[in-house]
Amino acid sequence: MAQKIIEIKNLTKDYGDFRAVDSISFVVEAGDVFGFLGHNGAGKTTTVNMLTTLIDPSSGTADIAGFDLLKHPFEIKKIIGYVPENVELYQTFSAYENLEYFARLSDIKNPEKIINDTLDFLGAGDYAGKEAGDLSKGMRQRIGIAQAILHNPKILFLDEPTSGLDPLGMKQLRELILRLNREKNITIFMNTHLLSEVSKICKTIGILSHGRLVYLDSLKNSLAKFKNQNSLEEIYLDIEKHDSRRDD
Amino acid sequence: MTAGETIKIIARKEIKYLLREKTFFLLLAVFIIMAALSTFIGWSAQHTIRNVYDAATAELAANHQAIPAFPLAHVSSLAIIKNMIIYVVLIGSLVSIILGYFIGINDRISGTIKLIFSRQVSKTELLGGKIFAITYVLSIITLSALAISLISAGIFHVLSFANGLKILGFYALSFLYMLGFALLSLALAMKMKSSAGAILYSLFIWIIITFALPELSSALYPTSLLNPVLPPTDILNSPVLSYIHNFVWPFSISEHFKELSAAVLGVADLPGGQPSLYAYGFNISIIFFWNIFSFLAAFLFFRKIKPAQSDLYE
Repeated sequence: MAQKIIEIKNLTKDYGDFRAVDSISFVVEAGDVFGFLGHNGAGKTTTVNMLTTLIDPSSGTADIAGFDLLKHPFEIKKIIGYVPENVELYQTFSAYENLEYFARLSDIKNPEKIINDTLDFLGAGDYAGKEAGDLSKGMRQRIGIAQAILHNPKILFLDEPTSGLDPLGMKQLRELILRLNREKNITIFMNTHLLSEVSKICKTIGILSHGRLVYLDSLKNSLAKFKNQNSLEEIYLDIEKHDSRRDD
Repeated sequence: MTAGETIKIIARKEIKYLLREKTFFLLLAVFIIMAALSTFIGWSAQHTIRNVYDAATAELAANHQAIPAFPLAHVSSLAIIKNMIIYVVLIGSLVSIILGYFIGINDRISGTIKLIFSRQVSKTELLGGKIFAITYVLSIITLSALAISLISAGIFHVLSFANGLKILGFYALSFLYMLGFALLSLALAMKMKSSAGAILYSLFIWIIITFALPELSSALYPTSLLNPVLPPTDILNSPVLSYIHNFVWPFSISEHFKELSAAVLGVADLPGGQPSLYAYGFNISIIFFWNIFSFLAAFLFFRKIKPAQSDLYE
């Protein structure tokens, strides 16, 4: 049986009267590629922000690789990597200089070799000396992933990683995520609203709607369970429709 | 990783970022050039007065008239660098604001706040790194200006051990005065919702401290903005103006700096006599308080950073 690497327990986030995430609980297993689906504003980014310790939950907690979110945020930071939706870097620094800074903040003492190896792994070695301001969106995403994996994390949180990329860029990034999962054994937790992405790379899916977790299962089971639907898109829309009716 | 190591890494990055900002270098160049020119300007003014005096005494002697004493006979030899007091008040504080602004705002403009806090970095360490960078850069600036002033004082033959110490004291005071502006600008760079707001609020405070408060507290001293030393003329004859003066003066940081600097350099040549030690103690207390206030503002604003929501997208 696979080991639990993320265990979320009644995680809730309120912004004043608005409940962004409503008591969600689920488990992600080590080695998984977990697709966290949901419409815009469903609470996906808020959930990732809590799991990456960027914001505190209003109630509930989570265990990340055995560390409690509230009690050991700094231990969690050591074992996770995070790539935000829009990867922003210091524009006047080269890609290498950006990576060097984040490597040092991750307590990597002599980061030269690690940076070069990571850039080579990501196929971005040629861009090391380029100023971040001159990099394309796709290349910035790669540098964003590079900064997140320099310290060899166990879990990589990706927030809408393919957002704004062209079809080729999306394909390359998909392949990269799968390589990270297979070759570096990194558990992937990926926020997205692109169903095509999920169906191509995820092993497990969770669907968040209006802050509530409305569905959780493996992709394989999901496709079998909803065999009348032709695609994941139809499954998603069916679940979303069902959830909206419950709201009404 | 220790907090000290994290602070060092952040400070090194801040300095590296600053070294690529042309605006900062432009202002810094103006300040350093003015430091280099100030002694010459001061010497030139005194030299002109001396020439006029010599010409006048020759004329008076030829006409067998009484020769008055040289008007600058009792003026301190360091009077030739007193212009630096004004340059620190006007330009040095502006350089400090730009320094604090760039160091404070660069993470937010770049949009890297989330990435920084996804690492093992606390808010206090981030603030510590930025303050370390500000202090380091400001020290280099102050030491450069000090070296220039010492060299130029040597060139114009007014450099003695005692004068060297006075110049050193003046620059230590200038460092403290400018640090307050840099810290406040750093605080505002972290607090404001836009980068324009951050710099404009800093400049607004600079205008208040440099121009408005001296106008209100010494409104009545027409030359106060130009002269580093307040003329102690007894013109506060209106009770209202006197009340305004008494109320505003304690907060008029630039005047406290000017008064104390003039005393340190020995150029506070006041006909009414030197102010008491108590008065100088009050001056220095206000300048320390100015730094404590700015530091507390930076500390409080940094405590309130929201790692997931602090980026500026402009």
